[in-house]
Amino acid sequence: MARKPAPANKKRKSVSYRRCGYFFIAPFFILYLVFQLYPLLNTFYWSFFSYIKRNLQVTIEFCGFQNYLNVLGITPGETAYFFTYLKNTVIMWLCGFIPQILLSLLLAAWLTNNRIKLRGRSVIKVMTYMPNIIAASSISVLFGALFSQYGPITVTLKKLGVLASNFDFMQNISGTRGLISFILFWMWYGNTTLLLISGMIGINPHLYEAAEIDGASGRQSFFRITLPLLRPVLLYVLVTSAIGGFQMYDIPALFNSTKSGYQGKPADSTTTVTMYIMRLYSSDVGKAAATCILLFIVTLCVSLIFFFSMGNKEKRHERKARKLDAKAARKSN
Amino acid sequence: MKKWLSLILAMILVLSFAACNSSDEETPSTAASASPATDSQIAEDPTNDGTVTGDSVADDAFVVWGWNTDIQNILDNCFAEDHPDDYSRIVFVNTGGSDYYQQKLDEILADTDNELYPDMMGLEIDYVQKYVQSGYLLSLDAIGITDEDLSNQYTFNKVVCTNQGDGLQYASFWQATPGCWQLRADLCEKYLGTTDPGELQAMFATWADVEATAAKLHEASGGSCELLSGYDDLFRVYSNARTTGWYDEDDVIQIDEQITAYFEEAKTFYDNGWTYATSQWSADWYANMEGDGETANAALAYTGCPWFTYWCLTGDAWQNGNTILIAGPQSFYWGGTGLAVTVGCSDTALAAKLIRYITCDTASMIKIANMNSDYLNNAEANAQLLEAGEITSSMIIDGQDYLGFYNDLLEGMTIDTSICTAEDKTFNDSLATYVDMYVQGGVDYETAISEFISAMHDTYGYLKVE
Amino acid sequence: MRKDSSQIDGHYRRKLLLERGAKELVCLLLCLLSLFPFLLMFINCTRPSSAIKAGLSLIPGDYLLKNWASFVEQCSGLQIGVFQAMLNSFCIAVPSTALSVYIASMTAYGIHAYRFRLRNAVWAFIMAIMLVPTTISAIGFYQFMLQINLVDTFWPLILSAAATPSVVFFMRQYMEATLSIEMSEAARMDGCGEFRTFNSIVLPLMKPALATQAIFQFVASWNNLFMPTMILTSDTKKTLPLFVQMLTTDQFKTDYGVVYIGLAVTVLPLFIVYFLLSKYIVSGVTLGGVKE
Repeated sequence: MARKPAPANKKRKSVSYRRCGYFFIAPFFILYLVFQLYPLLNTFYWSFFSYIKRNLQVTIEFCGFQNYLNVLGITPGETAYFFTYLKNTVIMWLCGFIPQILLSLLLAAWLTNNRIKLRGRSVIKVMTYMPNIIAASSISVLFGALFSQYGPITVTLKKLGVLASNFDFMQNISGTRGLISFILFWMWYGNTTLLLISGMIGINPHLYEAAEIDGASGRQSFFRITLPLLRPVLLYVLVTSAIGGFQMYDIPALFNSTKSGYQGKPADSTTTVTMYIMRLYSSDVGKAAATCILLFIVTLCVSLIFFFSMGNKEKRHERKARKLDAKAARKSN
Repeated sequence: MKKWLSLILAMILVLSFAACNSSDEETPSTAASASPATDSQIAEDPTNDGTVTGDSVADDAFVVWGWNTDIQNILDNCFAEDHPDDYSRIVFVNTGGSDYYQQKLDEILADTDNELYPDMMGLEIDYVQKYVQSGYLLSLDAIGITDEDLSNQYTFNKVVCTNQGDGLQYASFWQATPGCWQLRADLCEKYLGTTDPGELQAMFATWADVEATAAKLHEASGGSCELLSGYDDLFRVYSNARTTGWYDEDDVIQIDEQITAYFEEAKTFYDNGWTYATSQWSADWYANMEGDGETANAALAYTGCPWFTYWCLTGDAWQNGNTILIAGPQSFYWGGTGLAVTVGCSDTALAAKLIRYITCDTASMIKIANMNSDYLNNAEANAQLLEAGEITSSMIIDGQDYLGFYNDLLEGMTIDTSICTAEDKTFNDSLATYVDMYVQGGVDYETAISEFISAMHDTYGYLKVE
Repeated sequence: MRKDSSQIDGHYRRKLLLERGAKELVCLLLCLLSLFPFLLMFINCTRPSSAIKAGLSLIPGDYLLKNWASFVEQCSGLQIGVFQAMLNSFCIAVPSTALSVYIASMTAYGIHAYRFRLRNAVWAFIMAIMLVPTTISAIGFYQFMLQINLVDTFWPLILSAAATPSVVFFMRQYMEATLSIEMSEAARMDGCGEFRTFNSIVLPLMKPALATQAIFQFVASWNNLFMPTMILTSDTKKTLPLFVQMLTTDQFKTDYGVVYIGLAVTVLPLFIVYFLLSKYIVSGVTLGGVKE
């Protein structure tokens, strides 16, 4: 990110133009402030009001932190729906993310391997990325249709004896959660692979040459060179995927859920936090707003934790890599 | 590639103008009021705001809201003929689907200046109390509908529209909905050995009989024909036979013993494999209407009511005299719709006229029944129809008189609809999750019920957990 | 000696070939996995409901037209057809894409070309808000829209997407790599106004980046479900994902073939666009990625 210093002789001239920058950034900031920042503050504001709507009559009262205490289950007699639904969300996200990152690493390593050049690499990229571009809502309904009790895949698996004859994905907690995770995995591993590939390409090839000269195996150089240097990209993938994961809505909301009420079947086990927000947004604005803010806090914490923990290691590894780099440079000389 | 991209960019830019224009048109406040031309556009182009039929800008427009074409059909096919002048003033707003109906109504009811503000609207039994208690409706009394006008209506349908606070009736139903079980004749013949309604009723007379029949069927068919598609088909049979409301007068949520019984029966059915454990209204549930009960799975029975028979049993397998109606082990009802008049109604005389025409007067109601074969909320009309013998259904098995069957069913009905609450729809829709939890999820009854109660309290903060 | 080494070589090569073959096979299977659900979808469009219920088949049936007819029939009860839904999605996606890409380029240029005092703070702010998803302000947004009477119009969906920080981030990355300040300074010497410089010199240079981001913004808007669910209540204004949601309601439940054909219609446009532009899209994914 090193910036070119402005040439000294032109510096004075550009001074008068400097302020033009504000005009260029103004539209963005106005739109952002009005349509995103203000709503965020507004959400915060609403989270302190009890909003009760009964027989079309609305009562709004200031209630302090009551909404937070309620959704967190701290008030006696209240259920901690925020945690319940956060747990559902995290489980489904993790079950999709872990296989996704592993497969993506493997695939990216294969596709960037110069020793064994696979044919049709661009086709592979195009094909594995493809589900990511299709609407999650369509995909969710499609999988719902394919895996329902009389869906063609379920029926065929039963005929082949893979599934018990009375098995039903839609009535089975792990079945439904597993399929939702699979959809997430299937939609996103192509995207992750592409990001990892770009990260791998950016690694100095001299490092690998040096490692090879030192007699390192392909596996060794993957774990000792590729992975450590890939940390920034991995961090990026992890943080964006986690943030996206917390907002998970389209797939569970359409896959196997009750018509109204936005409950993920079976047994409320696939309801996510955003589905909860959607359930409450017009009936209990205060509680919905408190849930939003809690989700915001969780999102923020998770990304900060990732950044700090990975950031430090990153620096350590960078130092290590630099040493290796220098070594490689010496060798190639 | 570059050409492609510039082409696309150009397209995007050009179309964004077009799009901005068209999104302007979509703004609701301007859509109808902008110019008189819009009306002719509406008439010409059904895709343009297809929800509204009629001239909503006219000074004497009378706006009626509904969530499907039920009311519209009555207006178009019957009312139009008898009262063409009044009919021409009616603007019908069809919101399409009941899921968002309440939300849309709630928005517009607060907006009396909106020209689509309803003068009159359709309401369903599961949420009619919400509007009855809202203060947004005029009582029937206030628009001049007398007790005599309503004398032919069934009591349970009057009670459900009555505000317990002031004792006045705020809506009027045109439909009566005694609950029944519908059996498929070919499957009865094959597995139960008879198609005689009387003999079959004996097999469903008590819950023990129902269980015995289910077991017999399961055995005889080897699992390719079960009594019910899902155990939640039992829901309405129990739920709409409750004797207490979902919450008491202190707003404490309570569970009726019928609900407890439902949980147990559902579990019995599931544990014994007497259903295919489908969810009601799911594709799989519909699919079980179609099978032949041998090579493809089929359910022998669906629980229902008059509108269910002609509206939901659409599969070929149920047509041509292949449907048998029986009362089953206990009396219940299912659904019901009616009309209500808003406080801002522009013409209460026309409102009263419509209510009388659709829900009170015997002659006009008979005409409606002849048109849509609905079952009427009018004892006199039903008696006359039975006598005339004009209404027959091609679905019902030869020899069964379905009108007489429903008339008898209603006479024996002991349901107290004063227990209906404003939140019934949410309670009814939400229970399924917790039944599943108990029946299949290995959760005990107390836990499942308490989770249900928590969820309802979560949805309606003013309802209390004991 | 020589013979030996060539033997080892041959052995090694065989091993490599074998490894390559195995890896390619895995990749082929993954490609098929991506296609398979869509393939089933398209095939099931052409089969009667009863056949779909009986299990998988890779052979198309002859029921396409019948399914289409019943799909159209069932749509007629919905107040909105699939093409109207598409048009609605389009009317939201196009202006929001155009706005967000244009405004983001402007912002990025402002930060890139002018050394105003708050420049670093502004950039840090944009980096920070990239991590704030729009979902979490949804309630405040909805209440705000209620207040200013924009619920059930397209405006909230267009305007909320118009300021997208990630696009700014991407655009600036791109400018750093391709646009020297000297160039705009030269234009300035020629007497171009600041704004004209941007429109007539900078934007054309940014074409590839604009196109890439336009595609992604378009797709994001086109596929959005959460916001439209809150904002749009009229059936006639429903967007494509909301239409897809309706495919799960009662009307469509009675016939499996109809659901597949409905899905196919909703998926097809993106499918075509993707395969036409796939090279571009795939290379665009990583362009905005982390660059250190």
